This record gives sequence, structure tokens and C-alpha cells, in this order.
Amino acid sequence: MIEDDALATHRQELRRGTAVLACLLILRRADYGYALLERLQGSGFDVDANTLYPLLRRLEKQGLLTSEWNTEESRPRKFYLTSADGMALADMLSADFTALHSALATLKEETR
Amino acid sequence: MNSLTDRYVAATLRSIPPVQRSEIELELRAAIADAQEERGEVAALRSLGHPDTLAAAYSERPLHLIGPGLFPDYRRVLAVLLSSVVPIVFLAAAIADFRADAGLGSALLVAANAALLVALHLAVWTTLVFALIERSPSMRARRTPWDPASLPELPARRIDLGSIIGGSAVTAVITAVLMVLQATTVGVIDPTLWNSGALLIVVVFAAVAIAFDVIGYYVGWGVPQALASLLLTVLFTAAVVIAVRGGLLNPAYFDGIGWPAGTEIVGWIIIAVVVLLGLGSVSTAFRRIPTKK
Repeated sequence: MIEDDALATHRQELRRGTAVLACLLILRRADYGYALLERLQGSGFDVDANTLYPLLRRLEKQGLLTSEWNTEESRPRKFYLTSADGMALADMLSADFTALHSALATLKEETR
Repeated sequence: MNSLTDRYVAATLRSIPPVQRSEIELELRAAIADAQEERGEVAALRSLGHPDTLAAAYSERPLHLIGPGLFPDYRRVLAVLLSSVVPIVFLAAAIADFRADAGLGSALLVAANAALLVALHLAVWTTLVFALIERSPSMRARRTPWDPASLPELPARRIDLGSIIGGSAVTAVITAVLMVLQATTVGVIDPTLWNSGALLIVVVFAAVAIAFDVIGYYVGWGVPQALASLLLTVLFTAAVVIAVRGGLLNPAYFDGIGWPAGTEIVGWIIIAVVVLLGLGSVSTAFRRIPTKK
């Protein structure tokens, strides 16, 4: 069996590619950074706090998310929401993912 | 005493452009507060990682001076520049200082100093240029993708390490013969010149030439190396001519063996041999350049 570091890297690569899609899907219902982080890590997506927060800013800058400061609670929090462009990208990425999934299934069958 | 959070936020904001600072500060504090509730302050800050790394991720600036795309080119350019220029500077400085009537030790020191200075300058400016290219999107866009047709042809004749070492062996033999002759007979070489240790400069020269060849062998041979080799040969030939005409050979020796005209004639023979060898070495240097299609 390959050593732990290499193994962890390979597994991480698989999860990292899908983190953006996961964010766009979860944020169809507005939520704030930390809650999103918990949700992602709980679902098995390998995302650190120090990557997620800059990522959210980047996605907002690209027009895939909109943000709003919520001052109702005791602590003000920045809530993100998937925009129309974000939804369109999420659909595209989902379709890509499904295509990849069936391609892999086919490969497994063919090269048995 | 500032709280840990305050110090963390300050450290992060330090490297973020002022325009974004206030907004990122709000976000960051909210994020830390949320995480702190669950895990405590230290664990929360730990999960965010080093403030410099976080700031870099926020401002999307690269965390390297020269990236993987440019690094091979950078390394090659630096190697070629250093291997071509530094030996020449070393030698030129040594000869210049030596002719100014200093001792050999002082000449070597001055030469080493000059060589080091030049090497440092080369390294700094090359690194700066590449770092600028790395950070300038417009300049990077101008780089054309690599084309296999531009690969250099393999050199027709590979100069092997054997012939290089052979050269140094010949130099050593000649030096030994000269030393024996000088010690046992009325010296061939002018005694004052010999006693001043000036001829050690020839050994230095030979050492530099050999080092040059070996480095070129490993770093790769190209036009810059060939030109540098040409310069080295010209310097050496000029030095020999000056030395011979300036009284390298000892007239007493030639009188002693009954050949007074020998001083002139042998002098010219030496010059002729050195010039011919120089021409040979220069032509080899240029033949070694791999030709590109």
C-alpha cells in the first residue's frame, strides 16, 4: 500500500474538485460561512476554513454568489446566496459530474 | 494586551490591499467568533492557518517568486550567465591587478572579490527580471508555447572529459619540465620574472580554462560559452605575446648553450605555437555549438 501522505493527497484531489459545486448547491438556500463550512466537512468534502472563505469571495467576485450582511442576530453575519449565474454553472457542473460518473462506470465494465 | 483574535486579524490585514481591509476584517471576525463558540479561540485561529497564507489566499497573490512555468528557463539562464561571465571577470581582474605590480596573493584576492560581486549582480538582476515576468500577465501572454522543432541538434562530436583532463595533464607536465630546467640549469625563463612568481598566473589561467570547459560540459555549450572561450583565448595569447616581448626568456641561457639568436627565435616560436593552439581551441569552441534547425 502506498504511503499515507500520497494516499491522502489522491483522496483530497478527488474531493477538492467537487467543493465548488457543493457550495453552489448548498447556497441555493442562503447561509453564512461557518455553517457552510460545517455542512461541507460533515458531508465529506475536504475544505479548510482558510480555503473556504477566500473561495466564497472569489465566487462572489465572479458573480456566482451574492452576499448580504444580516444584522438581525446578536452577531452580524455575512450570508451568501447562489445567483442565477451560479445556478447555471451548478447545472453545468452537475451534468459534467454525472457524465464523468457514467464514463467511469463504463470503464470499470470494459476493462474488467 | 490585545486579544489573540485582534493580533490575528491585524497580522492578516497587514498584507491585504487597503481597499478590501474593512470588509475582510468584518468577515474574518465573524468567522472567528463562530468557530470560537464551538472550539475555543486557539483552535479557531489554528483552523484558519497562518495569517500570511490566509491573506495571500484572499488577495490572490502568488506565494512564489518564480513559478514552475518559468523556473527551468530561469535556472538555465542563470547557469549560462554565471558560467560564461564569472571566469572571465576573475581572470581579467587578476591580470589587471597583477600588472599593477601587486603580488600574486593580492591579485587573486582582488579577482575573487570582483568575481563574487559580478556573480551577485548577475543573480540579483536575473531573478528580478524573471520575478517581474512571473507577475506580469501581459508579458507572460507573449510567451509562445514550446515548439519541438526548436530543440537543439545533438552535437556531432561530444567532447569527452578525457580530452579535457588530457589538456590539464599536458599543462602540468610542461610546468614541471620548466621548473626542473629552471632549478637545475641557468634558467630558460628570465630569473627576475621567475622569482616574482608571475608565471603562477599561467597556472591560474589554465585552471580557469579547465574549470570553464568542465562547467560548459555540464551546463551545456552554446554561443555565450563559445564567445567567452574566444575572449579567454585572446586574453591568454595577448598575455603571452606581452610576456615574451617583454623579456620572458633569459638571454643568459641562450648565450650559455651557444645560440645567442635563440632568445628571439624561440620567442617567436612560442608566440606562433600559442597563436595556433588558440586558433584551434577557438574553432573547437565554435564547432561545439549545437546547431538549431
